[in-house]
Amino acid sequence: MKNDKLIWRICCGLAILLMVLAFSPVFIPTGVFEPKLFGMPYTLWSGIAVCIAMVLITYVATLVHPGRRDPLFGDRHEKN
Amino acid sequence: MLQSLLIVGLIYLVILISISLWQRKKASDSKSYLLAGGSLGSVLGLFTFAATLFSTFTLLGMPDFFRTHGVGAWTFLAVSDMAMIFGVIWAGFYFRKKALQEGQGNYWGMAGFLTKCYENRLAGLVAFFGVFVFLIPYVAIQIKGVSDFLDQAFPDLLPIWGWSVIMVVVMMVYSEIGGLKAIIYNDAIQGLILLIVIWIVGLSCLNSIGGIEAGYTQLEAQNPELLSTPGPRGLFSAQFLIGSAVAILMIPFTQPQVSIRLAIMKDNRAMYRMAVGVGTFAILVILPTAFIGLYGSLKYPDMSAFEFLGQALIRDQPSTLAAFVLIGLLAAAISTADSQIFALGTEMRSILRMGDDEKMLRTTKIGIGIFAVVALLFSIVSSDQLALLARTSFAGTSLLAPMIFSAIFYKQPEKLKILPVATLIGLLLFIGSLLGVVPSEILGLRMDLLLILALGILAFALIAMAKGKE
Repeated sequence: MKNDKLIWRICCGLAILLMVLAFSPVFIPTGVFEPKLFGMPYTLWSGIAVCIAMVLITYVATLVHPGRRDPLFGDRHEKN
Repeated sequence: MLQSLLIVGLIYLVILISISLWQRKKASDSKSYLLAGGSLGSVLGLFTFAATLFSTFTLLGMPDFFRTHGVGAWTFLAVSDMAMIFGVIWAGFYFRKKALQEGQGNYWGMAGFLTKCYENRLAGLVAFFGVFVFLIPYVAIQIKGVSDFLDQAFPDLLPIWGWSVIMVVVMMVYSEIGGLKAIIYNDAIQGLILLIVIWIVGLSCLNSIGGIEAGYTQLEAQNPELLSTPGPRGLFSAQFLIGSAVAILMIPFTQPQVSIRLAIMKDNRAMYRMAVGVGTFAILVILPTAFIGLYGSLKYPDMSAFEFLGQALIRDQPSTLAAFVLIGLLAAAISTADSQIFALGTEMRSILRMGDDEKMLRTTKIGIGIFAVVALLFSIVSSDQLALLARTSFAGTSLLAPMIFSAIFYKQPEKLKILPVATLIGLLLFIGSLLGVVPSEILGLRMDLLLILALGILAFALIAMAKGKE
């Protein structure tokens, strides 16, 4: 339970950090398209990587969300 | 190709109508008809959420965005969508909790929810005004986009308005018959069609330019500005991208066709799974549009948007695939537009003051019909800037966000009486800036960004003042 809360906070922190960086020159540098990956320019491949990372973070966050203990969460959890 | 289209189209139509007739028997009261019984599972939830979210704008607007403005289009939509799915699991929980509490287990629409929370009818009316003003043009551009495209594919077969009328009639028939559940089942089919079609076309485009690496190497020699932000026309500036991300982040709460899907999920577990699924779907559906856009940048850099789309999606494809593309496009447009029109009906019902359920349902159905006709008329006069008009719709409804989030997170929103009035002023200022009556930028800041910042700060200040008085 305590770990869940910590992991949830880490997920929130990572998601916010990643989104701030995604809209900063770190991921969208003006006029820069190097380094390339599989021929794709930097903004595109790094953007794809950000998206995959965000899906993973979101998935982990769903497993530790503070609302998991709420009755709205679902029957299966209550039985566990 | 017309023969292929007729065969594929007929099969598609039969499936849509059959599902509606199947669901008709189950939809007898308002809850079954307008809220699909309020028990949406994660798989159906994923497809209906995705089909509602990814519209004509994805299939037509995004390839053209990649073609003319470059790779920043990925950040514009895909990265913003990732912020949105995290927002769904973070704020969605609190939204469902409050919305279901206020509605005693049922959620009838954002306007009704706000009326109850603020104990003020104006709050609901402002929300309804905002979604009506910014959703009708969005529905209209879906109809117009596909009608223009069909006119390109079959010149002289029907006038553009004829295609629009057919689309609206199909949409109205199946949603009026089967209600939201029919729309949701049809969304699932339409979402799958959209995903399959866009990948086949994307791979076909990629194949004809020799693959990703060869394509981008050639583009570097031809127009290197497309390989980075802000793109050759400077559209994807940091401010534009951030403004778009904020607007997209708010969609699940500010666009009623999406928020209703969160509220009617069976439970939070289903909503969480749906959110992760939508994130994956977003990556899968946007990636091939980058390939189609790359193909367009190399082969058709100087064509108009519809000329390029007609060429890349129809004329350069085998006729059977082209027929599926057209059905995919219809599916994308219909699945978003029907949900939006239906949501407008639900929003209207949520602020109606009638005791009788049957009477309210009848009035709502009439309202849905009227909204469809208004959208149809608007589609005949609207512009063809699909992606930009969609963004304007997101930005417009996002101005409701401070009022909505205050209702979700603050225990006594009824103390924030000024917020609905300020939101109305914000909406009017934004409409004024779109019409050119009010400046579109102040001190270098875009009007939409400035207004949402101002409304956000005001909401925080009002809450702090109300807490101070407690």
